[in-house]
Parts: sequence; C-alpha cells; structure tokens
Amino acid sequence: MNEKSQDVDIRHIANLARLNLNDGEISRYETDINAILSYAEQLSKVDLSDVSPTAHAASITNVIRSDEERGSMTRSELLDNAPDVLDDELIKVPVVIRHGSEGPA
Amino acid sequence: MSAAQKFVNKIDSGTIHEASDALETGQISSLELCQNLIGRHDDIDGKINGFLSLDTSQILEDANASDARRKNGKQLSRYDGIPIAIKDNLSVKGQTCGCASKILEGFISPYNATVINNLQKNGVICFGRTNMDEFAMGSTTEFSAYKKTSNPWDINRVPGGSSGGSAAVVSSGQALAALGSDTGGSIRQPASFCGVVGLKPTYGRVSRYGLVAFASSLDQIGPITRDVKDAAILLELISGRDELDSTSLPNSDFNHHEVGNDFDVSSLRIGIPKEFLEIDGLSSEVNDAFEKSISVFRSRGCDIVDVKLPSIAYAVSSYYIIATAEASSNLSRFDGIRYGNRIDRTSDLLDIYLDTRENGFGEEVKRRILLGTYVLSSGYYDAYYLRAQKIRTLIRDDFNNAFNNCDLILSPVSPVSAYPFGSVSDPLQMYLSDIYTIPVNLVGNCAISVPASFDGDGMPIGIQLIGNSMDEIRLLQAAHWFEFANEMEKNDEV
Amino acid sequence: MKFDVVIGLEVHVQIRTNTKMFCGCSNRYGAEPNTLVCPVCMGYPGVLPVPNKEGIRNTLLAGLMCECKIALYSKFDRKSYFYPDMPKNYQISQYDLPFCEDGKLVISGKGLSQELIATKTIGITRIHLEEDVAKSTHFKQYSGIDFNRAGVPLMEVVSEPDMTTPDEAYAYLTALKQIMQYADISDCDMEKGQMRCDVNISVKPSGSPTLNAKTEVKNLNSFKAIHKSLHYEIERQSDVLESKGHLVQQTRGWNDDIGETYIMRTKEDAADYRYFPEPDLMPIEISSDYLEELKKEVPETPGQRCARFIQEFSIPEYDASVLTSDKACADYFEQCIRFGSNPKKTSNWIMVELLRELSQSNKTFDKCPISPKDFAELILLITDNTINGKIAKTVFNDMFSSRKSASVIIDEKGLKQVTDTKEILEFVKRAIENNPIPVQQLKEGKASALNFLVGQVMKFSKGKANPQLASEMIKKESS
Ligand SMILES: [Mg+2]
Ligand SMILES: [Zn+2]
Repeated sequence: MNEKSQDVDIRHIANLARLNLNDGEISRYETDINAILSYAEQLSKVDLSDVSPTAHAASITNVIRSDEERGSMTRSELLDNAPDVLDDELIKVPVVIRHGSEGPA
Repeated sequence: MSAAQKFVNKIDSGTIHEASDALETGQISSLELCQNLIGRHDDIDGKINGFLSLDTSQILEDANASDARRKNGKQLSRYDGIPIAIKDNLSVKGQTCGCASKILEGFISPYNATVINNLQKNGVICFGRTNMDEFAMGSTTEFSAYKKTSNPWDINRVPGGSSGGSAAVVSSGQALAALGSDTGGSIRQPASFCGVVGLKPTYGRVSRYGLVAFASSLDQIGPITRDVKDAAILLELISGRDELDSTSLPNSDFNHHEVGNDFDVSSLRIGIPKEFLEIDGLSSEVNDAFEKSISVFRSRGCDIVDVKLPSIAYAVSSYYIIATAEASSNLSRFDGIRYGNRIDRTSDLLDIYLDTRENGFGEEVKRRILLGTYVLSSGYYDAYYLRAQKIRTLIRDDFNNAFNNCDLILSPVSPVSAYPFGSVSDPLQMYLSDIYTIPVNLVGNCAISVPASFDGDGMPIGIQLIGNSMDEIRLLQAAHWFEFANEMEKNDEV
Repeated sequence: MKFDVVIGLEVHVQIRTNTKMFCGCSNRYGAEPNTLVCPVCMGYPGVLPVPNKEGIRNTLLAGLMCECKIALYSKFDRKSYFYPDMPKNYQISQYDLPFCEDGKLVISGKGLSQELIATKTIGITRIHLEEDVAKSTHFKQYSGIDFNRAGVPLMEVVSEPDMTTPDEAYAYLTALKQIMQYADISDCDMEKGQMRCDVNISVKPSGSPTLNAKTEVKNLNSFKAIHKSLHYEIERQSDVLESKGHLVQQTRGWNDDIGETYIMRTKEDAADYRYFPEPDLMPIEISSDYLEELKKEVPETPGQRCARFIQEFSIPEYDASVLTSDKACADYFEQCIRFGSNPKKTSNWIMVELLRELSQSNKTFDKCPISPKDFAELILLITDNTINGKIAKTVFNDMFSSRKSASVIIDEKGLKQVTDTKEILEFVKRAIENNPIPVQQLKEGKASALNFLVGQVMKFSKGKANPQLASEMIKKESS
C-alpha cells in the first residue's frame, strides 16, 4: 500500500467489474475511492509481519456433506426466471465466442 | 371492551410473547391480529414507507390456516399465527426477493431461506417485505432503489440502515417484530435510531442460507423486536446448525427460556473500552446516554472495568476492504443472464453485462463494487485485502483479551442519533459512523442494541452490549435486565 | 536451425460422483438439458455451497496415485471472470493451497505416431479441485446454455513442462487416463467432456538457455487434436524464430476442422482473476489418520499391475503392458485367469482376437458380448484339445455375435476335435492314396508336403481332426 492508491484506474476497475460508467461517474468514484483508500493508508503503518490473516469469523474446519442427491428444480422453474429462452430448453444469450474474452483455466 | 379489542388497541406496542399468550388463550385470532396490523399498515405506511410489498391476501390465507390449526389443536408451536416482517434480502419461496435493487426486478425465488423454513415450521407468517439499502449497503435506507423509509419518531429523519424498513415497521406498530441482516451494524443501528431492540447473533448461530450475501464472512440474520424477550424468542425460532450453510456452527440452537428473570446482575463485569469514547464525532447526547447506561449497571452492583481494544482504530479500514471485496464477488452473479432484469440493446454479450449492471445497480452499490474489485485486483491484493485480514486477526485478539477481563462490553451503537435525510453525503463519513458496530462483525461475536434514552429532539438512542462468541444467553439476560432497570430509572426520574 | 520443445499440460478431469460438487443435484451425463439444476448450482441470490466429501476424497486419491504430497491444510478460493457458462461469475477453485502438489507420472510405450518412446518421469505440479461450468451450444447469432454440467466436480492436473514431443504428451495423457480409470475416479471419456486438456508449449533454438514466451492452446477435446495442435504449434513457433520473429505469450484456440490454432488473447489483455479465499467455505484439514486410511484404499497403479502380471502370470512384458493399459482389459484378463485359463494363451487370445473384435464393433469391455467365464472356457477347450485353434476362431466369432458359450456352440455344430486314432487313420489313408506326388515329396524331406497332407486330413474331417495327431500318423503311414 503506497502512492499507488492515489492513481486508481477507475476505468480499468469498472471494466473488470463489468460496470458502464460515464465520465461524471468516473471522476466522482475516483474522488470517493481515493479518499477511502488514503484513509486506509493507516493500515500500512501497522507492523503485520508476524500476524496471520483471518478469513472467517468462525474457526471450524472440514464442513462437508455426504454424496447424496437432494433433488433439483424443474426446467420450467428455471426458465420462468430466465430473461431469454431457446426452444424451451436452453437459456439464450447473444453469441459467445471465447475469442477476446476471458475464459476458464 | 372485549379481550380481543383490548389487545388490538395496544397493538402498536404489542410483542410476540403477548400476542402468543393472547392466541393461546383465544383472546385473539391470527386473522384478527393480521387484519389489525394490515389496517395499521394501510393507515400509516404511506408516511413511513417501511414495506416494499405486503401480500395481504396471502397473509390472510395463512392466518386462516393457522386459526384452523389451533381450532383443531394442531398448532405448530406457541407462535403459530404470529406475523413477522421480512427484510427484502431474505428468500421466501414464490415471492420476489429484490434486495431493494432494480437488478432483481421480476425475480421470483424458487426456494425458502433456512430462517424462513424455521419460522414456517413453527407456523409463523411472513408479513411483507421490508425496505432496505440496496443489497444492504448503507446506513440510512436512503439507498433503496424504490423508496425512502422514514423514521417513525420524525418522518423527516432517516430510520438508519440497512435494515431501516424492518426497524421502522416494528417501531411504527405495523409489525410485532421483523427479521433483518447485520453486516456492519445493519440491525443494531436502525434499531437504535428507531427505539427498538436489534440483535446480531454470533456468526454461524443463524443459517445464512437464503440471505442474499453482501459480505459472506460478516453477514448474519437477526431479529428486530419491541423488547429483549422477543429478540430471544425470535432467535430461538431461527437459530440452529444448518447443513446447507458450511459456516453454520454446531450446537447453535438457542432456548429463550434460559433468559430468565432470576439474573444476578451484580456478578456481571462490564467492560468499557476507552477507545470507544475517543471517537471523533461522538455526539454529546449519545455520550450522555452511554454514561447514564454505565451508571445504571454500576448502581446495581456491576463491576465496571476498563478494557483495551487498541486495534479498533483500524477497524473501519479493514472492514470496508473485506466487506467490499466480498461484495464485489458476491454481486458479480447479477448479470441479466439467468434471472432478473436483462438489458439487451445491441445483442452483444458484453453490452448485456455492462448495461444490465449499469442500470440495475445504484450509486452506493457501484461504489462498493469498484472499491472491492480494486482491492482484489492484480498487484493490490497483498497491500489491501491481505492486510485487512491481518488487522482482523489483531481485532479478534483484542476482543479475546478484553473478554478475559469482562463478561460483556458496553458501548454506543452509533456516534449520533437519527439525522435528517440527505445530511450525510460523503461516503467516508458515512463509513466512519459504523465504528461501534463493525468490529463485532469482523470478529463474529454477538451484540445487541437496546433503547436507552432520547436526544434533545426526542429521538431515541440505544446502547450496545457486546458478548463473546456464542454467549447470547448472558448477552440477552443483561440486556433484558437493563431494559427493565432503565425503565425503572426513567420512572424514578418522573 | 534445430529447436528444443517444452510442453506442459493442464488436464481437467470430471470426477464421477452421485452429486455435484457443492449441491445435491445429480452428476449425470446425458440428461435432458437444464433438468439437473437447483438454486445452488444456478447461483441464485442467497444460496451457499457445501462441499461433496467424495469430490475431495477422489482428488486426494488421484494425488496419492501420482505420488503427490497431500496438503494437511487446504482451502477453496474464488476465481472471478464473467462468462455466461459460469452461474456466479466466479468459479470455486483452489489457488495457493491445492489438495495435492509435487507428484509424478511415469510414461512409456508408444506415442500416437506408434513410435516407441523412452521411459520417462513427468512431474505433476499440482492437482486441485474446482467446479465445472455449463455447456454452451453456439449458433449463428446466439448461444444456448445447458447448466446440467455446471457444478460437477472437476479436478485440474497441472504437469511440469517436462515433455519434449507430441508423442510424450500423448503418452502422458494415456498414463493419466489410466490412473483415473484405475482409481475409479473418472471414465475420462473425452467425447462426453469428462477429460479436457489445455497445452502449454514453447520452442527455443537448441541449446539456448533462455525459454521463449509460451503459448497456451485451449479447448482440446481429443488426444488426436492435442497431438496435432502440438505439431502445428512447434511448426508455427519454429517458423517465427526462423524468420527472426519474436514470440509473445498468448492464448490460442484449436480449430479442428482446418487443423490450425488461432489467437484468442495476448498477455496484454490477460485475465485478472482476483483470487481470494472463498468465505462461504471453511478450510479442509486432512488428519494423518484419514490420510493413512486413504492410503489403504489406493488401488494398484497400472505400472504396479503390469509388473505383477509379469511376475505372477509369467507373461511377456509386452503382453502385460498391453493388457494393463486399459483397466477394464486387465480386469477381464484377471477374471479369465480366475476361471482357470492359461495366462499366456488367454493373453494371446485377448490381444489378437478380442481386442480386434471389440475395436471393429466399436465396443468397450463393459459391453463385451463374451463374459470372462465364457472366454476362459474357450481357452480351456483349446488347451485340453477339445477343439483346435482353427475351429476355436470360428467358435470365438460365433460367441462374439451370438453370446452363446463355446461348449454350446461346439455341441450344436458338432465341432468337437476328433482325437480317435481309428477315425483319423481313415482320413490319413485316404489322403495318402489320393496324393501320391506329395507323399513322394514328403519322403524326400519336403516339409510343405506334410502341411499339404495334414490340410487334406483336416478337410476330410471338416476341420475337427487333431492336426498334431494327423501329422504324426501321416509320417508313420507314408514311410
Ligand atoms: Mg481450472
Ligand atoms: Zn444443483
């Protein structure tokens, strides 16, 4: 954490988050987020070298389930909520090609 | 005056336990109870705007079914037929579950949250969906995409948030009690602003399955009620280990009978963190209310001890990094592909994402998604997210040390009482006002907001009791005792 | 210019379980589209994941089979990117603490080109567990998504860049597939998407100490496509280097129709996956007790089984490696032996006749029309001279098409070998009488003449005479 927080690239972040922002929003969020991040600069002053991170409020482990079927919903229940449907079977989206897009790895 | 009439007349101050007694003795039917609450709603919710929706025909049908069960001696529990208002981020099968957001317009949930299953198993009736800050992000309920909820004590002021609708409908007599969710104070702060009781249970005590996630490691469902006893009853109804929630704790059942009247308050050690009194922006009236509460405990023989929470100074930074990081991920599923409102202008996949999310999310939600995306993005994870999690460890250690020296911690809920609409516009200033409530979410402990006093304008002020993890019994006993003692104190003053 | 090639593979393997990884939907191939879905695997608002014990167990098992170190403390992470086949727009996966690390796999045998490769150890970097995504079907203007596959447990096996030829990559995949089948983790049917592969490949001038930027080729769905795409990339990258060009890190796709890779993205627009610990799932601790239990469940690896076959059944190494390359085949072989058939003869008959018939009729061992018991009986009938080898082939073909047992077919068709010397003597006499010239040649020591005369006896006996017996008697009678 350092001077970097002063030049947050909101456009890049908005793109990662799939948010369309107009110029006014970009500058407003830039101001807000820079203010919040410069407040959070305080964290860089704490010596955390020997501290382990806490990801959960509770410290339980190995919460797993047995491999038993619990049933599914019906296709019509699924498609009733879908904005666009193909042949009463599939959820329809504009053509998706991996080209130029992020994909699973 | 008939017994039923008598109960109905006091409905705007009635409780679950009173209504349950009245139902058990036949003084009132569930139908009458619901009809009267609906009547109250029709009279005043135009001014309060606490509900986003109230399906009256479904409610009356459920009430009739409950009355029929009772008539046949088949009631599901003492609470069969009791109506409870539900925050708009809890999933009820067949109902909308909009989180006060445009992006979920049209979505009908096909399943019940575990808390809803637990309520319905006991015959409890889901009574409307209450307003909230969009996706529970906010402290005033002003960030609802649909309407602004008013504080029933002064309709020009905010009810607090994000569970502002739940607090307002309980406070204004439109519901006996409500469920809310608390990620950084979203139950306790509106309860304090609206003069009702708000309990954030220990993380893992109540299943989160069916609660639309804001920040998964911080969220917890809890009751907003008129008194502490009701909070205990509602906690009993909704708590318990749930195999659908991997973060649900074993042995998390709760029995409200353990919160008895025979509590020896003089054996209690109450910790006061001096860091809490040094907060910028703590109003003198809240400070006075807090001091007065300390004296209520002290006067009955409690040990008041100093405890230290040195890392609290970093709580807000840590919280807003963790909460927004988790939120940015949790909210990425809202994209108009599988459900909700899709905006498709150009038949281009990327545009669907961009347009749906631009139009679907409000300003504060976007702000938090951006912040959360940033702190997780390549090159910044270690500087922000990892550091915030380490601070979380320090704060947890602080609380563990404090609870070695005391049973409960007493603190304000919010540095200020309810303020007029639009008076806080700077996001950082808004985040900083959560300082008393967010540390509890970071460590996962339980805490309760109980009405304590009023400010000069007659707005309610609550105090917060913080308990150790899974120590709800002691927390509620002390709160129950305080509620009673504080009432006596007030009567003494008169 | 000569080039060195560096190849590493990332293989995704679907784990065969009753249910999906984080919900109770059935994990089943071939159901009607969008019928195996629930709020959890659809990422509906408010749902939470709960990990399937069997998914974890199978991942650990795969790790043990590959001699990996098993993490005693592990966790799940979220990997974020927007894509319509991923319901939550993040994938529950594992980032810095995978279940298995630092293993190895030995490759040997033949590559796809049928050339023998040297035995070699390929390092396994890690095996982690994640959830599969949905299946998209692309049309001209739009795509349709079937979410039945979304949430199916998926193992990702990442190799070290230890391979240097497409044949080695092929042998590695074959070995990995064997492991998965041996441990009963997956059928690895690539046509059903149960096994999918991404390859990383970079080419550098021979002897050059510095590696060039690598290319990742994605979405390869057959061993052949993997092999072909590697050849294509070696050529493409070599060409770039030959023409003094500069290789940049990029992700490419494979077009199977034209046999070429195409560019998908370069490093500049590389994805930022924003990994962070999955807050909805608690960490997994593997106790040493559990690990010991699990080690007992680890099945024999293909290599171990091959060695055992050589030792226990005294069959040649080649036979053993062919039989054990497919678990079902090795199982079939062992069952036949259990019914008492001679190992070497059984091995010959499986390798020559059965494997050919199965492949010609496009069948796998689970659909084999001849049961191991019937197959063993056939071998027994050959070894005890009830039928001779030639008749046995007819009987085998009949068994394969009619599913009848060998003894039933032999009875029905009267194919029992004639071992009665009197009966054979008559055929021998007739053969000698009718063929004076070959008899003369036989006397002069011409071996082919004997074969001809035995053939005559077989003809007279309709193939049922014992050929050894016939041969001896011809020699005796003609001298
Ligand atoms: Mg993967
Ligand atoms: Zn499912």
